[in-house]
Amino acid sequence: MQKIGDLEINQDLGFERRSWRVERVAWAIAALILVAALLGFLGPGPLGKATAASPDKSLSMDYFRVERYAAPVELRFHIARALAKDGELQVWLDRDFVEALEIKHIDPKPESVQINGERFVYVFRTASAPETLRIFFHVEPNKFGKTPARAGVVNGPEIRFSQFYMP
Amino acid sequence: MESVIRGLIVYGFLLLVFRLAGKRTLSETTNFELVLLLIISETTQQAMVDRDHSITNGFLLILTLVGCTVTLAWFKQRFPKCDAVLDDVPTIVVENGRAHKDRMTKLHVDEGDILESARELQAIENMDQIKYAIVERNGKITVIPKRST
Repeated sequence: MQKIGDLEINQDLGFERRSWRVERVAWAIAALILVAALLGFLGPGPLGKATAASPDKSLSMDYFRVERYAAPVELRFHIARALAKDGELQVWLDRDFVEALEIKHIDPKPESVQINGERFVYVFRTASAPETLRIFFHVEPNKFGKTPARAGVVNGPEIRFSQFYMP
Repeated sequence: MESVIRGLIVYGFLLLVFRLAGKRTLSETTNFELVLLLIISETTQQAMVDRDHSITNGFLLILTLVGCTVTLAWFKQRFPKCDAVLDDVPTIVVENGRAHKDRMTKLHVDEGDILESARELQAIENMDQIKYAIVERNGKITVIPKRST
């Protein structure tokens, strides 16, 4: 035990000064992490917005590049009505992507869901639909890390995109 | 396995954040800081428990957290440097009535804080009556008065 005057104390000013320096560096790092989060590098945010579209733009999807595990995620599909056949639109997602998610609900609700090889096909009725159909998949990621995905319309265009799910 | 890993990550993160926040942060627990602590504990609980509300998960998390504390206590006792790194060291901020301004600035302590502790603990009226004021490892200020001759 160190003795300072009459006081027995474990004071270590050298260690304390090093601690203060480390604290200040840590605060700067914490501030950078918060800025990164606000911008969308650690979850949904303005710089993380992205759109995947087919070359003819008849199929596109809005999403965020970075999302979080078990947090609500929305995938917005914009699909030209011309891609519907016989009043029916068949949208597919690849199996690996679906397995990385828990699909909470889909707006509008599909009439049926079918499995076609490595694809999950969601069938929607398109009677009296507008020029561009908007379909929202509300999902929750159930894994971490980078998740490449493919989606498309049966016998129509296909898009590829990738999301990163933070733990 | 995931429960234990979650517990370890959360424990490590909280230890790091509270250590780096400095010993004076949240040491006095004002009304607002109490609310802040409750919010932090609620947020921590949600991140740690996730969607698994089973008794097994609860038991595993409790064992993980208590296990971490016991392990660190062993390390701190065995290695004094580890004790300083994890729990910081006390700092003298007033010696014989003279304030160490540089240390006080770094520790976010002003004369008002020291005099408040001095009044509360020792019924001291002014800085000249203080022999030592120490910011302890838990952020509290202890005051030793000058002995009247």
